[in-house]
Amino acid sequence: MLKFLLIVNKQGHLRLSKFWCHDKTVNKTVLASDVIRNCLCRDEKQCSFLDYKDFKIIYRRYATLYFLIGADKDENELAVYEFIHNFVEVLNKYFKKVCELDVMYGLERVHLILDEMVSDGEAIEMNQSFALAPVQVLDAFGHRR
Amino acid sequence: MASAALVPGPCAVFISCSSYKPEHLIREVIGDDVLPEPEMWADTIQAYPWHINTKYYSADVHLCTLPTQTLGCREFTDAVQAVVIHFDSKSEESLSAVRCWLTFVAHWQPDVRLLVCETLAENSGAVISREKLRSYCLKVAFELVERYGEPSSGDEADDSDEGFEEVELGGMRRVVQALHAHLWPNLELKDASTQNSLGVLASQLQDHAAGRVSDAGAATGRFARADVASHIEGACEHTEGACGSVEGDKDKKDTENMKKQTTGKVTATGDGVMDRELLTALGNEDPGGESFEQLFERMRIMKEHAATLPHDQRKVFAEQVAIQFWRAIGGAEDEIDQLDIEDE
Repeated sequence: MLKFLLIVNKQGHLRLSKFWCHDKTVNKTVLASDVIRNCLCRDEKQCSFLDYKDFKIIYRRYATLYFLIGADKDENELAVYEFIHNFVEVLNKYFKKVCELDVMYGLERVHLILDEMVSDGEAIEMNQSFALAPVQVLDAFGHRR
Repeated sequence: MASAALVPGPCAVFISCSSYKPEHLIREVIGDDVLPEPEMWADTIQAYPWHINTKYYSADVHLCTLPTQTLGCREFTDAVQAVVIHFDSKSEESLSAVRCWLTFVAHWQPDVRLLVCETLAENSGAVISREKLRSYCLKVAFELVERYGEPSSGDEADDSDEGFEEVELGGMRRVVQALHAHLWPNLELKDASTQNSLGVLASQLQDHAAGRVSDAGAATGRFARADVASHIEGACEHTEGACGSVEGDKDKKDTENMKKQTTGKVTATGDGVMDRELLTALGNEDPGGESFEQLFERMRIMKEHAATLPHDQRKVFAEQVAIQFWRAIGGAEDEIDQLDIEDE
């Protein structure tokens, strides 16, 4: 299962963090900053998968933003790798050319979309239109007023 | 000499450790050919006003240059939000000047830290390799920006092919982008109506629910109260989910969850009575048990009401009560779908 997702910019500023594990022994702040440091210092040519403690870290860089996912050992790296891309495509579809500002100022939307796609650490929705449905309903209400 | 008025707002500091003047960088950021007349802060700091206008917010900030290596006054230190340092990649002295500045930067604690140079391409005569500098930047939490860097290759190109359209901006456009991607303390958000569509949705649904409740009320008196009870149940479930202790029901249709969440909101934003009922239900250690009690109380009232009805109406009423109960205890919706249709 997926344990956490982080969205970080090139300077290492955390823009979004979502944890699906509720282990009290894990210090999320330390974990996040450690993982971010590990990923940011990697070369573009290096593999997008790495092991960190008990996690498999899978990351992708899109322009200035890094999308990092920590998964447990049972998860398939390539599947997660593709999931990240799907998630980014959904965001792109919704925000029309998504950028860092969208994640910063549309944070609740990103969370809403993410919650639609992942439940309790399992990717449940791969259809991009379905993943966007709730947030679009929300917008429709917003515009009607 | 320094007073609060001397530093009127947040600012970004532009520093040059090369022969390139910081004013030139500022001009490129502002995008005008001619720089506006600078304001003088604390007699020495030149501050150029810059209006930021993005999709989400607008803000008025200042881009500053410092005449000497100085921390500035305390107000200035507090106002610094971003630092952009330009250096000459061909000169060793320029790099050590950057290191010198970093101790000052550490005092300002800016959020945005950018290190700008012309290029670090291999044949450009740079005294430091890109990899080395990048890991150094990472250590000091800076971002490296090459004004005339070569476009990055490999993965990114593939990714952008597949639909991700955010292109990697190079050079000064990246500097502007990074300055935009900062929570300026004096920013003003735009378009509050769409930002708040959650609230709008809640009130819309509230109206809708009010209509439904009165309809139901007209038909069956006490019926509406049971409706409220099921709303409370929904709200409880929603809060439990928010605490991360959802058990089971994972396979439940998302639309249903959505509905539950929104009905929860309706109750929360509904009239005072509903509000209080929700709060009692939520404040209880065992919210489920509490509303069950209420539910049974209502059951008693409904039974009394049913006793006054003629025989044929009583049957219909009983069925409706049963459906409400089914919903309130979280029974599967499809099991009673058939009944609803027959109802209509």
